[in-house]
Amino acid sequence: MILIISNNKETTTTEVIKWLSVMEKKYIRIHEDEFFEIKILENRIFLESDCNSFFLDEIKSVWFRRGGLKFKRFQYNNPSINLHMNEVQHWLEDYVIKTLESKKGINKKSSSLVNKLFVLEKAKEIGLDVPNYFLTDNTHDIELHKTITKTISGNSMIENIDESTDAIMYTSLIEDREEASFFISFFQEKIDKDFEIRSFYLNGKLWSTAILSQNDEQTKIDYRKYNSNIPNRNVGYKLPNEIEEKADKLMKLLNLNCGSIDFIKSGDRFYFLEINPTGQFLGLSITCNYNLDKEIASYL
Amino acid sequence: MKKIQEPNKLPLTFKYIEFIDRKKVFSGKGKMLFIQCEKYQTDFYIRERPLKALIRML
Repeated sequence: MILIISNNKETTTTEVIKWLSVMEKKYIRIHEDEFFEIKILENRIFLESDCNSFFLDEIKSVWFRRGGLKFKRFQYNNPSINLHMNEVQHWLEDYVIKTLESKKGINKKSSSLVNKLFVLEKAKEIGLDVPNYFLTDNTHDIELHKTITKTISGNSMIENIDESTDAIMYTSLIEDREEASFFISFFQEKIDKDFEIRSFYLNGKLWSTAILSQNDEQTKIDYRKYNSNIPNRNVGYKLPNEIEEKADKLMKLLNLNCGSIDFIKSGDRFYFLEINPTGQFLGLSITCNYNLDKEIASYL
Repeated sequence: MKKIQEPNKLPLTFKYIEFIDRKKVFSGKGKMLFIQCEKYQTDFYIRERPLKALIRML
């Protein structure tokens, strides 16, 4: 049995599940709004939510896509007993999570939230080219038109910023100085790119796509500002072996066996930008006929 | 453009924030319809339109 930990709205998960069905592999998909109670049934650990249930020992592999495994906790009237029982329940939950993370799988909850700043440091240590970056709360010393800013958060999307609106923070070029200071922000040297490269990594193998976003004003700073009238051309690409080996080393160092890695090619240099362990990859997979959904289903 | 007002300072990325009207995304030509799907264990299965080329072939 394969355990898939995902979000309800996550369409990539559905595409992988379609392949699992074709391969006649059994799976359980759990969502962010499920809370599991840990029980003992037939002398085995049994997890049960309102819509799913499984024995811990029947899970053979785990795909941590998004969200997480959440648990129901009992509350107790006596505050001291409540504190003690909170700890007891924590260790039980911890055992379940550690057991699941020790099985064959794709990514882990404990390592899937990567810190962009830490990743950049490690990428530099491994020998990847990284555009100069720094944190600051003002624009006094920033070189205008040659510096970009982007969020250090893993998610650049803010859902439900008001009743009918979502918001997104794209990578943006700094063109004006700010009079006032602001919350500590991430800045990075803007690299004039030949094109962008997004690579999907799974267990040491990379599938890369060149995104020709540099000739369109709308997409030249951030290709995710899709131009639906004249879409960027995306083509399959092979990174040099040396870059692939360094990327593999970095993923292993971060304890990730799956994720999307962004690069910029400029002249004969490949600049590492960031890793997104839970990024979307299906669009590029379809464009390049990589069948990454099938690759994931085959591995699980 | 909506204005974000917060008592505390925000990162500079908020200056460049772009708003997406969910009503526009989920209406009109590019409308996506989600249905419940027991087999794939989701309430958000996208009801896809068949590809034009496939319709022509049929």
